Amino acid sequence: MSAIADSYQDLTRRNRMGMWLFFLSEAFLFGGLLVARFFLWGNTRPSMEPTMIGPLAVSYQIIPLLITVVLLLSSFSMNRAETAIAHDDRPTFLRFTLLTALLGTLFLLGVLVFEWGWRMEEGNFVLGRHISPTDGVYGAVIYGMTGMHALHVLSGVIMLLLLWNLGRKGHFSAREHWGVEATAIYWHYVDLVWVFFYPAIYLIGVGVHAAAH
Amino acid sequence: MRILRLGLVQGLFGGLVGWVMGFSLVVAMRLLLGLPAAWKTGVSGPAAYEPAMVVAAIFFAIGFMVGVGSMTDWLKWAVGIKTPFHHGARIPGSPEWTRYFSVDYSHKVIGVQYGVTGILVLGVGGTLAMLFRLQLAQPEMKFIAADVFNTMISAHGMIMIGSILLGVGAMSNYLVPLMIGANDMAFPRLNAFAYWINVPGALLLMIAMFIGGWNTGWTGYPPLSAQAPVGVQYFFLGVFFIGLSSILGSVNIIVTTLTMRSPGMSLFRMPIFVWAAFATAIIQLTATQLIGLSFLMVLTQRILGMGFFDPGGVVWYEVDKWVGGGNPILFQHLFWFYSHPAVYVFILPGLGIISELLPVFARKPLFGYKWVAMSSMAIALVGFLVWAHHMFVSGMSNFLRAPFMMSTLLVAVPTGVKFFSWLGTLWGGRIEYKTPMLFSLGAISVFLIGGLTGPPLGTVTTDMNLHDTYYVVGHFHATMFGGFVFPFFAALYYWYPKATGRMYNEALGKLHFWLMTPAFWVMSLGQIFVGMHGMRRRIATYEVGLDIGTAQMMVTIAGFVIFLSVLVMVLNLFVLSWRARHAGANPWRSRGLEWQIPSPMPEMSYASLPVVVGEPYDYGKPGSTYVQFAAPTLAHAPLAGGD
Amino acid sequence: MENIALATIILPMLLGSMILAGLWALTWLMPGEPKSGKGAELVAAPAYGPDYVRLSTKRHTAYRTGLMVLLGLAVLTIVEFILAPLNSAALMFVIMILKAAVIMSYFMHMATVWRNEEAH
Ligand code: HEM
Ligand SMILES: [Cu+2]
Repeated sequence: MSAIADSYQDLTRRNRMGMWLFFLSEAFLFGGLLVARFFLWGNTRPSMEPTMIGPLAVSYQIIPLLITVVLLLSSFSMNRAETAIAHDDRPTFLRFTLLTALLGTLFLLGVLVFEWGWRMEEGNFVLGRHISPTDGVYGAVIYGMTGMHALHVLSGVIMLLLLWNLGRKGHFSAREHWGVEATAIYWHYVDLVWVFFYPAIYLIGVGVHAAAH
Repeated sequence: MRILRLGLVQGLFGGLVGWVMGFSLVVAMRLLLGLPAAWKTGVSGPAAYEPAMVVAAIFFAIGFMVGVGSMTDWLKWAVGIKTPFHHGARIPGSPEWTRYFSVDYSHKVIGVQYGVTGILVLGVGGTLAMLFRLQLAQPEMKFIAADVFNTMISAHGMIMIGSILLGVGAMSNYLVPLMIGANDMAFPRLNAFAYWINVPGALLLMIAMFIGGWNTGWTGYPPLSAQAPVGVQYFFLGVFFIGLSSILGSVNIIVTTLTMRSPGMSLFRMPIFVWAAFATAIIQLTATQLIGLSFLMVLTQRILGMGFFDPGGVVWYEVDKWVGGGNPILFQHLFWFYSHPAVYVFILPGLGIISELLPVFARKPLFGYKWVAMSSMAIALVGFLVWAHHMFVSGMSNFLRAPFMMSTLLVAVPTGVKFFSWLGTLWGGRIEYKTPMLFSLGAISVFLIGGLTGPPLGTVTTDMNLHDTYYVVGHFHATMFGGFVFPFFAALYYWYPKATGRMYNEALGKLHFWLMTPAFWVMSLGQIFVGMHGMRRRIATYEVGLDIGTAQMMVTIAGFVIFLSVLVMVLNLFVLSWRARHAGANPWRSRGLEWQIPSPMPEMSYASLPVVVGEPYDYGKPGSTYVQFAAPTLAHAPLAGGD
Repeated sequence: MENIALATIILPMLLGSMILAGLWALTWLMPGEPKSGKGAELVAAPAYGPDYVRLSTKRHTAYRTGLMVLLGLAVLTIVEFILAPLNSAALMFVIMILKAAVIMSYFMHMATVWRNEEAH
């Protein structure tokens, strides 16, 4: 009887297929954002002149690069965690799951604090260190893309924390760890999206300067 | 109180709590930031609190889903509690009917939930249409104010699309597992979630009418939608949640079809409806994201000032560094990349139903089974390449016109395959004119009108004149009635005895058909006629000088007849046939799997394993068999399912 | 300034911790199967785990593969960053797709979607 009383394999196979279909669906969402970026920006992007952060003059290019590296590292640690549980190595699994959540949070902070730059100006609450969401299509697209991605990272971090909590209580084993696998491939998927978003926002196109207003 | 324990009631309560929480959260944050509670000055009512209204609507949906109980199992899993899967009522000992008003994991219950909700929503949309058709019955009538009129046509459009999506969900959720010999869908919990999220979605669409309405039509184009009354936000969010349902539901359909077929049922031995549902699910899975994205972009443009579609640049609370550059055409591309394929979501399941029923009532094999199966897939795929035929006069790049014209006309090929298969199936058959068969034949006649009016719209030169006239309205009503409404009704009559065990009243069924079909011909030909005589779409009234008053009056009368005929069906199926005679397991002598088990069906449809040994549609071929049943197996305790 | 802190940090944190606390409370409030023991036995123990193919590789080999993939991706990212001034969108796309392919095949084990692991 195929429909009920299915084995863990059957269920995992279906879950995996469902997960990938969900990724396919989300690919159209992120793809739509990429289309918007190329439709609206063409072969340009907002230039990012060096500005002062504290005493340091830093090009704003450095922040996206740093957070990209952080996300890449988190992908690695996620993979290590998954490999660990697949070999019944629970301590490693727990340690690296927590590390992944930490790196994910770091990425989020990088986006929210350094890239978006929340601040207060003349009693007004303002977003944007080098660009704000209301800055025409450049602001709109940057905040749209990073925002949609950050939302996915946030959900991933929550999943990771729940996963860690379950793992701590003794759930998952080498034989049965679909929960770990699902979280892991979701996390890698979010990283995959950033692989496309990072160059699309920060590397491709000629930097243009803000028009004098 | 049993009523208070119904999921629906608890969901509504949760939704209300969520709404209030969301609203106060935004207001509280504003006050903490030292901003005034109201977002906009100079306006009053909901418009002054637009961001709070938006967040409140999102919390409303979340609150509803938590309250209704469709997330309970997942929340438990998240903290490590196992929830063994079980069929039957959630709360042990409560009567059978309560299952339909609460979260239930049986695909049969969910299918019925989809169907009944769909018919209710259809009634709301239909009532709106009746009201504004009254205004259009005569020239220069003004008893509905123009802005109210605009809200009504916009709401009619999107509410009807919602009802079609619900109807599609009803057919695919109810029928696909039955037809492939599975006892449920691959992800029953996800299935329930995908149904219930429609309820807050539909509610938001309806609330949108009362918080200021919106005047954009169902397409919601900016820049108009960026300036429309605040109701447009609830329209966006309503569509967003209904779209979420499409996406999650389609994951379920695809996985179910791919992994849960009975032994022996190879892809080319699946019932033809399963092919149609599969092709539909592929479109829903992928394209739906784009309408969500496009609406989300307008939503953020309105409340966050992100100028995706604003060429001029909005000046917000700080001086802009980069100004403007937005482009409304982008919206149309994103929107139609969903909304054209969406029209195939509306029709493919219906066309599948036609192909499913004709062989049964003509007692002949389906003509060209493989071609029909493949034509569904072809329509789904080519449907992704034609979206810009809605934009011939939008101001998009001129060089895009010719390729999109050609790809549009290409869709006629797989559609033609279906028509020829229907003709070939009917040819020389001994046709039994039962109500489901009548509706299938009616569907073909009506879909023909819609199909023939399509190519003139797909041809750039003619579309220049026809765009935004009632001709388009006539075209798409014919396609949608032929592709969805008629086949959906056919399916309701056809599977009614299976679902309830009772036979509907045949005479009333025939009355429904003979009222509805001629009325529909009059209505859609009338719309096409007035369109060609200069009647524009989406206007609240028209001049005497157009000289189309008589035709308009006939369209209105025909519309009322259609409305009436649907009431006859509701009376027949939901009131009169309740205590009708028993129908028996297989009144139509169908070869389908689901007809070989008792009606109404047991909780576990297939207690013994069906094994497919032949072709599905070999009607009238002596000695041919489609399905055999293995010896009954022990009922297994189902495991905690994977979602 | 205090208000900003309140609105952007403390409120979300409060909200988040409330959600987490709520989830936690559910563990105790909700009836359900025991966390281990009887409930766990309901799940049929398979002859081979879903990942038995991957299991068959040694643990340290698997760890090393992950490290190599990380190095590869890091190199590609740096190359991408350095070559960006060439202003060639095509080149960027080639690198993006390469990185995506590596992630999908090694980190996300895409091949498992098609693998049929019927163990019985
Ligand atoms: C023979 C195949 C078809 C062709 C060539 C075709 C072509 C077109 C074209 C070119 C338009 C744009 C008209 C304009 O706005 O100027 C249009 C509108 C429309 N078509 Fe079709 N169509 C076909 C079949 C269908 C089907 C099967 C449906 C499904 C239900 C459908 C639903 C619609 C709708 C809803 C609109 C109006 C959209 C709006 O509100 O602007 N069409 N069609
Ligand atoms: Cu179209």
